[in-house]
Amino acid sequence: MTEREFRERVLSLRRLMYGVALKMGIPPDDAADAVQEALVKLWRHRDGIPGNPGESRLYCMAALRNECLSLIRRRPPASAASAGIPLEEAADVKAPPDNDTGLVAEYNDTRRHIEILIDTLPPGQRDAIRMSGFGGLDNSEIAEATGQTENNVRQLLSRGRRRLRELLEINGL
Amino acid sequence: MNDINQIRTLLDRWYGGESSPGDERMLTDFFASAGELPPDLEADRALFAAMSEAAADLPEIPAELDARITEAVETEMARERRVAKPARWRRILWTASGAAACLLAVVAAYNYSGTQDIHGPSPKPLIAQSVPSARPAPIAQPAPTAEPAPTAEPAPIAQSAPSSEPSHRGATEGSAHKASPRKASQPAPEIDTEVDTEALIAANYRVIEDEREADAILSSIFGRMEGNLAQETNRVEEISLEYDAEVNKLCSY
Repeated sequence: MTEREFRERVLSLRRLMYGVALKMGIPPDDAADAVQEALVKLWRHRDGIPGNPGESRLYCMAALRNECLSLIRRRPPASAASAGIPLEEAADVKAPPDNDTGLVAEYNDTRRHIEILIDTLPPGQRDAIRMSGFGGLDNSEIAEATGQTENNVRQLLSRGRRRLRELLEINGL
Repeated sequence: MNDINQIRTLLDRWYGGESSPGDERMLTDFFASAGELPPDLEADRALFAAMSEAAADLPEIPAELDARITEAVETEMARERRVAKPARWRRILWTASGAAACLLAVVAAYNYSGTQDIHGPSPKPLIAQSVPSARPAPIAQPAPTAEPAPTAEPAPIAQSAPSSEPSHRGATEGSAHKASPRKASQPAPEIDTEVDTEALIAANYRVIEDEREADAILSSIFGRMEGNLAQETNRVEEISLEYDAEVNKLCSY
C-alpha cells in the first residue's frame, strides 16, 4: 500500500475510529491515543491491509478495537459506590422544562437520549452495553477486557438490555 | 411468519446476553427494513433503531486531538523515509570501501612481489624480475670477483654464491638460485657467477651491484606504493563525506 492509498483509505477513518472509541466509554484523550496507536501500527503493517475497501475498513476497526481493549484492561475497575440509578428513580427522568431549549433538544434527540439512558445504568451494565452495542465486541472480548467471567458478562448484558427497554417504554419512545 | 419466529428467537438470545455481534447486526438490519410489526416487537424496533442511530452519530474529533493523531502518523512515515535512503548510501559506501581495500591489497601484493630483501647478515643477490611495463628493465651484469666479507657490512647486491638463501621472500621464477644462511664467522660461499649471470641476462634481468642504486630503486617502489595507498585513502574519505552530506540533507527534512 502506498502512502497516498494509506491516507485515502485508512487515515480518513480516524473520525469513525475516534467515535467508536468514545462510545465504548473511553475518555476523549484516551480515545485519541487509541486511534493514534492503531493508525501507527496499521502504517507499519500496511502490507497486511486487504485491498477491498470494505474488508480494509473492518481490518482497521479491528485494529482500533484491540487498542481500546488494551486501554479498558488498564482502567481501574468501577467502584461499587457508583451503582447507577435504580429503575424506580430512572422512571422519574422526566422531560426538561420547555424553556430549557438546550436540554429539550438533547432529550428529544433519540440518539442522545439512548446514551443518556445507558449512562444511568450501573457501571458494569453500562460498560458491557457500550462495548457490545457500539464497539462490536463479543462476550469473550468483553470478559477479557473487564476481567470478568463470560457468565458475568452475559448477565450484565441481559439485565442492562432489559432495563434499557423498560426505560425507553417508560420515557415514551 | 417464519422470519418473525426466527427474529423472536434471536431477540430472546439477545435479551439473554447470549447473542453474537452477528446476531445483533441481523436484528438491526431486520428492524430497519421491516414494515408493520406486531405490537410487542415495536418497542424492540425502537430500541434497536435508537442504538443504531447512536452508533452512527460520530462526534467530530477536537482539532487539537486530530492534529496530534495525524502528526504521529506523519512522523512515522517520515522516519521510514529517512531510514530507507541512508541504507542505500551505506551499501554504496561499503561497496566502494571493499573495492578500494581489494585494490590496495592487489597493489601491495604486486609491488611487494617486485621488491628484494637486502637486509640481513648474509649477502643476498638482489634480482628484479623484468616486466613489460614502464619500470626500468633489470639488466644482468657480471658480478664483481671480490668475495663478500664475512661480516655484517653491506655487500654488493648481486653476489655469486654456491648456496645462498632465496634472493627475497617473494622470489618468482626469475630467481636463479638459492642460498643457505651464512654466519658471520663463515667464509663467503663461492657462487658460480658466470653461470648465474648468463642465466639472468638470458632472462632479461639486471643484477644490481651498487648499493645506492638498489636503494634508489627500492625507494621508488615504496614511493609508488605510498602514493597508491594515499590515493585510495582519499577516495574512501571522499565517499564518506558524500555519505555524511546526504544523511544530513535527509535529516533536515
